[in-house]
Amino acid sequence: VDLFLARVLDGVATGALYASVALALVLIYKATALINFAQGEMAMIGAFLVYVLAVEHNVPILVALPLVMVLSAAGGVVLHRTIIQRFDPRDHLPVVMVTLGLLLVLNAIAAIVFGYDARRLPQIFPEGNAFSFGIASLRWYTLGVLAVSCLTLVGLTLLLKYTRIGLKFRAVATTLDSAQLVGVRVNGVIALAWAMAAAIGTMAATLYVSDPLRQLDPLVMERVLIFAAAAAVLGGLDSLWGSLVGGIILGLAESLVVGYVSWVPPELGMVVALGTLILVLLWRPSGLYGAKTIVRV
Amino acid sequence: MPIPSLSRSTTRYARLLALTFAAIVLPYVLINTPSFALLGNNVVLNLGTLSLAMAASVGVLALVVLVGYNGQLALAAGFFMGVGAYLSIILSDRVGLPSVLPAVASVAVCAGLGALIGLPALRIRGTYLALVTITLAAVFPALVRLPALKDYTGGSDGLLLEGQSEAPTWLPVADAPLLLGHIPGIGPFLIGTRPLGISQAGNVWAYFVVLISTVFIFWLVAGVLRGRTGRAIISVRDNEIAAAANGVNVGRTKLMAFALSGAVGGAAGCLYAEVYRIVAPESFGLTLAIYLLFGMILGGHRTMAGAAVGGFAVAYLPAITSQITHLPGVPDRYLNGPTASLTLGLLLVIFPMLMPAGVVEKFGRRGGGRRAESSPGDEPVATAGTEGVLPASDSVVRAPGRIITTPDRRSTVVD
Repeated sequence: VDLFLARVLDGVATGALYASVALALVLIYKATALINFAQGEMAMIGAFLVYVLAVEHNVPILVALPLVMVLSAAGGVVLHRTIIQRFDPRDHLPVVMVTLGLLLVLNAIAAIVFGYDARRLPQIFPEGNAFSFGIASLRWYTLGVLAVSCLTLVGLTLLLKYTRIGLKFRAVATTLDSAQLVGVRVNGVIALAWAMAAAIGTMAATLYVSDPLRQLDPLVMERVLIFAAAAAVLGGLDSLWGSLVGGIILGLAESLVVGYVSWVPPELGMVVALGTLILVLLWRPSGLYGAKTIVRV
Repeated sequence: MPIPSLSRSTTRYARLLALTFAAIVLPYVLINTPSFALLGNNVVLNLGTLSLAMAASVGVLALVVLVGYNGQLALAAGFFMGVGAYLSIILSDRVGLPSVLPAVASVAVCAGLGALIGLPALRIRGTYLALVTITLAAVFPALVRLPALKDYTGGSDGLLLEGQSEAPTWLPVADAPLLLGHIPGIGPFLIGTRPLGISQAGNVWAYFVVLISTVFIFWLVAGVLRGRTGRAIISVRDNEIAAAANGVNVGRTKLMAFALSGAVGGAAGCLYAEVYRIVAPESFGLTLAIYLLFGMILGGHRTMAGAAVGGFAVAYLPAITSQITHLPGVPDRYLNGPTASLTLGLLLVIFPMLMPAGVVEKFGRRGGGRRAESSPGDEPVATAGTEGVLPASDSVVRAPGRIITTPDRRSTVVD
């Protein structure tokens, strides 16, 4: 039972991070109905910047992370303004291509500048366990990750519900054209979505690699992106809370399946994500909490 | 500028002859690995890259069939290439099937797999389909490394195609330089007059195998796309509802496009295995899928010529960028990473802005060219009331991705 508990807790922590990246995907999807394939790599670059500040320039990581989140937000806006804004999101092919191209570019830049060596980030949360029961223990890391993910989600929900900018965002997400007609500056709102997504992604990636069991390298986010995409689709691509549920379900599935079914190797984790993706899209295309879309013929 | 049809077909044959001649001479030039200077770098060209370019063209063709002609945003061509390459090697090394049988079997399996993957794709579309298929391509290396499959796939080590390509003795593959070396001008310098060694002759032979297969595959796919099935495939892209209303079985057509794409992708994998003779899991991951996508975008996703151009770009850009180790103004250490990915990614971002239809449509000779002769036969069928009939003139006139503007062509359609 102890081991089971430990695995559940691990799964939940990983799941919460998948959920955070999924949240970034959902934000952009809500605003513009496009899936940002480059999200993982954007986050990875952010994590590298945190590394540079924290390790090479000795900035305390709790200062470095918010700083880089602001930088990433700016980067997100720049990406949107210079590239994404030029394309009509309803025409899928160019947008998919461009975000995949960005994936390749950002990944190559990271690999060229930082190389493929794995790097270790300083820990953000205190080491050791908050509680322990037998062998199972709740690490501060797990607790911290959960808390941060939930706080982000709560903060975002409040922002969208009770502020003026949130209202504008919801207007754009519901019907872009009508929002424009009533005087919302659509591009500003979408740029804001990109900024928030980039910042959240950076945070998630930094937390992900700050786990003492993981390391930072340019390839680390490919896997996370696949899980996050599956989580976002599972939760419903336009539902903020759905992404949390989806992320945690996938994190649990990964941790428990790989932990318990002995013949299932760790590599199969990605296949689990792929399977989830296909099943959800087949049987419930709008995910667990997504709004159903009705296409008028 | 109306050109009399006789002279047109004469120039066409002349061009074809010149191309054939070039295709025969080129491997003998490249086998000597000529090099040229590019921005202060010594760039070496070899025959493998040319053979690989043709395999890549076939891979890009698999995407073009599905994305360009059928309008389904399925990006798993890299996955099929992987399956084809692995399967053909396993069938020839482990099972011991002779000569072309492994390739034929792998292509058949890939066609089946394509249809299988097409089944869920019937209900998934647009960005979602792109997401699922790109994930499939990204998962391939993990699948290959599964312990359960490790005995067959070699896990992370990859697989080696045993033996080496050997030119048949009845063909003068090795002795051809004795003849070609005397071509005035290029012969003595670029080819030389010594016969090739066994391994060189093997490489040249592999090139010819790949060349002939590639031409055959393009010809076959062109035939399918020009016929009844092809018109159905295009009509589904242009307007599913209208296609269905005109008697096209949309689901079956999409599955056929998937199977065709799977088969072509598998064939590309077989050619890859024939050229490289070694496969590794990482060769067929996310990066390959995006590279193929780049090839499709560069060439133009609605033309077969685009697939050919794109394939060459996919093979040659990385081959050249990886040899550029010095650039004025850039520290050398920034040039020994994955500069190929950087270049391709940047182009992938820039291209949709500059030329959304690809280079072939942008720079290609006036819309018509080769198709103008072959089309009068099939266009009237399309307008005459059989399966491929489409409501608006839109899709018929805009035959495979070309907006027809030439006067002669317009008149053939009106006929």
